Amino acid sequence: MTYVFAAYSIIFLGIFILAWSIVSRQKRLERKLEDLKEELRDSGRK
Amino acid sequence: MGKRILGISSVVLMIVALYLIFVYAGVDAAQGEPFRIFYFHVPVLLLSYLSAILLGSACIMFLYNAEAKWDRAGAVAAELGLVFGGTGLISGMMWAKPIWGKYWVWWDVRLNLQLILVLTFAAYLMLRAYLPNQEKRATLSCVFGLLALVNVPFNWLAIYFVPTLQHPKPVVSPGGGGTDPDMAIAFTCSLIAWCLTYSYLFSTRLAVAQVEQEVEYLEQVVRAS
Repeated sequence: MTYVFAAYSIIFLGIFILAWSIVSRQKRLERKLEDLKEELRDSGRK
Repeated sequence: MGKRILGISSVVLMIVALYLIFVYAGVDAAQGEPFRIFYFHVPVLLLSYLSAILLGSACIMFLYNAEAKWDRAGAVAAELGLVFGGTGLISGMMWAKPIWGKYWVWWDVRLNLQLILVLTFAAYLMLRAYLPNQEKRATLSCVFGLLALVNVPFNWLAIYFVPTLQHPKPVVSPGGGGTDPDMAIAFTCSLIAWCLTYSYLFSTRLAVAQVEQEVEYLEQVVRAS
């Protein structure tokens, strides 16, 4: 049963890491968009 | 909305699949508990083949019309292929240890071809990471995408054409021995759950990749103005 547990854990861990990387990319994009908005606002004021 | 339904249904079906695998389906008479690894190992590896087919097809389409959407689709397929192929390979090793007595058998053709496939996905992604020029990156990485595509038929058919005592044939294949109906239900449910999970991850990652490219373009425009 140890090997069964290890196999399932590895598969779920892999999927979790993939999902986490997608979420972190999404958050980074949101931050970048905010920065771009700010840059555009600043250049509009000037 | 559709993506959310896909995500929720994949989670629900995965829970049902786990119940069917560990409670509903009986223990295999020949292999015992390690047989339960197959319920996840096989779908995950089949999806790594799908990743290679998607990657290869995307590369062919990119070389044909040079549209960025094919490059993005290829990159997403390679990422998923690396995860699904890699975890499938390791879960296979977890099955091999109690059944064969060792984690890896170097003369088993399918194992080696699967390792090559996983390394091809990794090489594709590494090459992309090191090439800054977008067009050059997309064209050069297609070499590895096409290699992944070529690997699939050999990988799939290896156990039929290369004599091996190690790797089991699929139970639904001719001479495979058939399977218990309870086990077939558990396996089918697991396969559907993994297909839904794959579709959800692929579509979500593809949407993020598209926005990434648009943001990159916007950044260049803003910095230039």
